Amino acid sequence: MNSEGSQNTVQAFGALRQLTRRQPRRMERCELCSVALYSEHPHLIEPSQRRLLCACDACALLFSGREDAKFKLVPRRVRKLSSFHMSDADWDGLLIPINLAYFVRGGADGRMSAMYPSPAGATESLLSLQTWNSIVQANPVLDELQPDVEALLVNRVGHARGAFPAEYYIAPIDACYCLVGLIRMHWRGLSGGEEVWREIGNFFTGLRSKAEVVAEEANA
Amino acid sequence: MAGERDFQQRVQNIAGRVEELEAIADPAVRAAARGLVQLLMELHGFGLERMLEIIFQSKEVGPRVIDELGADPQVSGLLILHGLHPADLQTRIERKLDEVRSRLFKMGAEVNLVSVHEGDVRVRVSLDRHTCGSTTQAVRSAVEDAIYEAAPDLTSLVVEGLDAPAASGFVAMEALARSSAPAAHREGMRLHGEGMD
Repeated sequence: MNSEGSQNTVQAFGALRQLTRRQPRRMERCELCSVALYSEHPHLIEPSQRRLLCACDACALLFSGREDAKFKLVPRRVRKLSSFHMSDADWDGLLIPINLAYFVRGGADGRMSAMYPSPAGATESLLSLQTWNSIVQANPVLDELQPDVEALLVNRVGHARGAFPAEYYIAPIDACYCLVGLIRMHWRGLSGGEEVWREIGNFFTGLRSKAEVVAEEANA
Repeated sequence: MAGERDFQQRVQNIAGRVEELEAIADPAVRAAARGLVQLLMELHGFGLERMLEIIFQSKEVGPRVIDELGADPQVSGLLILHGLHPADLQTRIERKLDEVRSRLFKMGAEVNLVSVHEGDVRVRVSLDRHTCGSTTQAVRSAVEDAIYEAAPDLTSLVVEGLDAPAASGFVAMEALARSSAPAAHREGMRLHGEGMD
């Protein structure tokens, strides 16, 4: 085929592409080897940058697992803590301005971070170590939190409205980033708007369905 | 390649019909016709996507099958059309240039990919000193055909190094309409990374 014919094909192709779905699918790619990822795939976190990467199965195995690895594999397990103890006073003591937050330990320095989603993205809140320690004392399951890759995810939105009980999860860190992203994308105006609250609701419905329910063992 | 030519021919035929539709005087009929084409494209696009997802889930063989689909001349163009091809634009061009390298060498030419940026492709050709005009033209055709075949989704192509009186360039009409929406996930990941320090 001569070049003009080839060029015609490209023009024709372009015309057809205009008629495919309005939002072209942006293919996710393994950030280590660039192979295409079509559906659910593992995530790695680079703790020094707090950066999340999409990976294929092969790279996920290859790049995590060593003690001194630059990347850690984000686990998939979600736990709903059905007998979590946190009073309103405890929560207020944490000084988080909204009713959603997650708490993750940094592997490098062992420092606990409190993060909450906002229209501008994830924001760090100064965490009172004293308050945190007393929460851990009341809920020993938190000692199991894997640094960098797992977080205590707190949803007190329903509780604040008196509508639903507060929810507490040990969630993988990529789920927390996803929640941050949803809020960043859909938040409108001062109170968020209907859309974002619907998205938040859907997010937790999804999380609940994946969660294994864990009850604290009664103290001896 | 036979399969590829079938695909290219079909695409050209369809685009020809679409052009005829766009020329229909009655706006209601025109809109309905365009809408129908879009719906059909969506129907098959979503179906193809779902098929690839299912194949991908077969951890052992899935990715390999998808690569084979991407390499098949009949299927590759369809995947590119729906944004589903496993190899990105740059990879496809690089692979294609590797394929035609020896043929070009026999014509006294060497080709290298200079840059790919959001669909704008730039390659450089270097020729042996004693190449005649018709060979130069043959080299140009070979390079352009190969790249258009591997990357029909490019938005522009510039071939440097062939001293032509007219500038060698091509810009797709589609270059005028580009949009994409970030996935929520990527927003969260990107912002968390940058919002922190």
